[in-house]
Amino acid sequence: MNDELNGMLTEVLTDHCPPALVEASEGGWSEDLWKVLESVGLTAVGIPEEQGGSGGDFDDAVTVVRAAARYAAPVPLTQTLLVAPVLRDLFGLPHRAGPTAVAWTPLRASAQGELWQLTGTVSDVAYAPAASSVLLLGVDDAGRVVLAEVDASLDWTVRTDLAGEPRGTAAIDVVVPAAATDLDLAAVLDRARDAEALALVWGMVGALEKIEELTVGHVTAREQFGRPIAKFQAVKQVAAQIAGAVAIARAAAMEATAARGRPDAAFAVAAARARTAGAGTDAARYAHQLHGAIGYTREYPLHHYTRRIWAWRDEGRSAVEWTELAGRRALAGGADKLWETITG
Amino acid sequence: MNGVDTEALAKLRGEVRAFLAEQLAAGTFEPGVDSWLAGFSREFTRELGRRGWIGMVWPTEYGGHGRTARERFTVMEELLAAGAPVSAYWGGDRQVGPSLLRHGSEEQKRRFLPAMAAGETLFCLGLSEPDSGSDLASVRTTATKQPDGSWVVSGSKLWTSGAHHKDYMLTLCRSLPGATRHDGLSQLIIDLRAPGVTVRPVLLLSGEHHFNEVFLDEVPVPADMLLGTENGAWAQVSTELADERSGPERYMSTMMLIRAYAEEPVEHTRNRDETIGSLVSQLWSVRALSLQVVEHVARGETPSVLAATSKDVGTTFEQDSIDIVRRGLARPPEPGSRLDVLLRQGITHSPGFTLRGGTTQVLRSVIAKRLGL
Repeated sequence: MNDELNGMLTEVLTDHCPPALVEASEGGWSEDLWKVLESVGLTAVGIPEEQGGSGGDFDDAVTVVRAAARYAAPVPLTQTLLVAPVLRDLFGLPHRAGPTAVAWTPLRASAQGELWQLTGTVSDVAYAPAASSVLLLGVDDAGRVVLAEVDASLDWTVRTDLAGEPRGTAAIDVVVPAAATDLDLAAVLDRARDAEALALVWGMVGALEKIEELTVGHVTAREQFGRPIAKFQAVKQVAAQIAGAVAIARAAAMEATAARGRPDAAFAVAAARARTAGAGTDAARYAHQLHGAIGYTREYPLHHYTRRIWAWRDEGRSAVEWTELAGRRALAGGADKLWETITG
Repeated sequence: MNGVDTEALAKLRGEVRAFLAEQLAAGTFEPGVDSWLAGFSREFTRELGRRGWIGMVWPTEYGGHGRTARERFTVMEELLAAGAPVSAYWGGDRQVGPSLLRHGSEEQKRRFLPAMAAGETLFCLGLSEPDSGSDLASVRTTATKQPDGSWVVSGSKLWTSGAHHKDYMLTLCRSLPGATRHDGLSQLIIDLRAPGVTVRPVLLLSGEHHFNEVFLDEVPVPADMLLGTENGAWAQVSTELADERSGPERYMSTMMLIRAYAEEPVEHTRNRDETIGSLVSQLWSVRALSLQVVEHVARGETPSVLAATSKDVGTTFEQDSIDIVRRGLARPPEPGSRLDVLLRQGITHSPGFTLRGGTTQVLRSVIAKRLGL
């Protein structure tokens, strides 16, 4: 991890993303926070400077996403830094600054001279009401896949998900420039979902780290039976299990990141995504158990992190789907090659 | 990983895989679950010694091979993945060798390490006692110093894996009369053929004989068999336990069962993709954690908390893996089939996974302490 970048993130987020801001942004987002992050270049980390980004590599981009999750930052960094760039690269679209949303529902596409008409409905687009642009996927009658990036000021019907993050659904009928690819839709979605999965893995790591910190703080400060509850063996054992969940999630995230570009990369992403979902589920349960009733009130901040973990574990593709994918990808080389896949 | 020569590692891995394929084809061993406790073979061990795969990280002047910790890890995980019989030398390679290197006299290092690396001399560890399990500082086996500097040892050691096959036992004793807890402890190398040594089998619940109780009745031990500092063994043992915790054997004990499940005909399984996915994503993740420990050790650090976490998560997975496989079967395995045998081995061995080398409760106490609790 880039310590200098992480230090800067901690400083900026401590000052500009306090619990009160997170609470006030429930169901929406914080444009103020976005502007602060943008002013110091944190909304374009990992995107080359010559394309208009802030530079830095993939590790730097996940460092941002992980830190943002530690503060439950109500801004679309996952989509902007880690999903949108992968889609743009696949289709050769240029970088575009600003908060970005990704619409996963494929639209009907038809060529109109140099332009493409895209029609249909995109549902449940994360951070749609916050975005300045939205990436739209389209498929024409021949199965050809196109990508367009359009202004996001559409007529969104907004709902709030489990994490308290906004999602939008909108009817689309536009004629816009779009780029095509030779990949089929399944391949495009797989690549983009893999990118999203790795981003979510790092988001979960950040949220898990915060959960551990909150829990340790709580059991040390909270006194019952005349002493801090941390003095009870039963409490220590569960706290240690949270630390175990955090450690395993972090190790999986690091390993999947290191596997990028290798033949086992797709397996590694699926395995990490499945494992962090499990670790997140366990740690969220243990953290609530150790916090007692205060932990499941609105006024105590634990819920910002546990709700994100509950939402993110099934975001895009569910934890079970990722587990199955990990299995299929591990077996892709043949059942007798299972061990070879694990060792990469 | 940083600073790892991936090409050299891949070559080494290929050599081990080729060797194992040869051995399997020749039928020299039957792959099993928990083979680092249950699989014993002097011949196989000598063969590994000849290939330079025991004492890999020890200095060449003591019969070692000067390889990296990552290379050793690679050989270990390949042997475990094949269910190879590695119990004869496992503890010697993991704990006794490093302890001899750290604390042994020049003469001890020259006498024991080359023979251990060759797979000829086998060591077991004498730590636990009937009244001393997780609380090792309560050991009562006494070593009484004689006027000539030699020792006479009396007491008994329990759970000594493979003592009935092995040559020496590195034994933790109370060497200072009246001392308690962490004080007055010494480690002595005891020849298991010495007069006064009796080995009693303690059968596992499956009926297998791996554990023993070793009775020591006024066993004479020469003065030069004291390892390290007289009355200063507590620190030595603590380091040994950290060495013991985070290796691949802490999550791979059921690897043969997992592989056998993957190779079952699809119609014998249910939710096969999810089952395999759950098994491999957990195994792969804890392997990543275990490799982090290797990296820290390579940098000269003692990552005892990371090691404890790795063992807790890894051994818990080993136990879970059996139930994941059971749930992933459409019907019980054919009695006597390979899967049936491996599943039974897994089930009967599983209680030990989270006990040996520090129980889950002890590990979690270590972790909680680091959290500041």
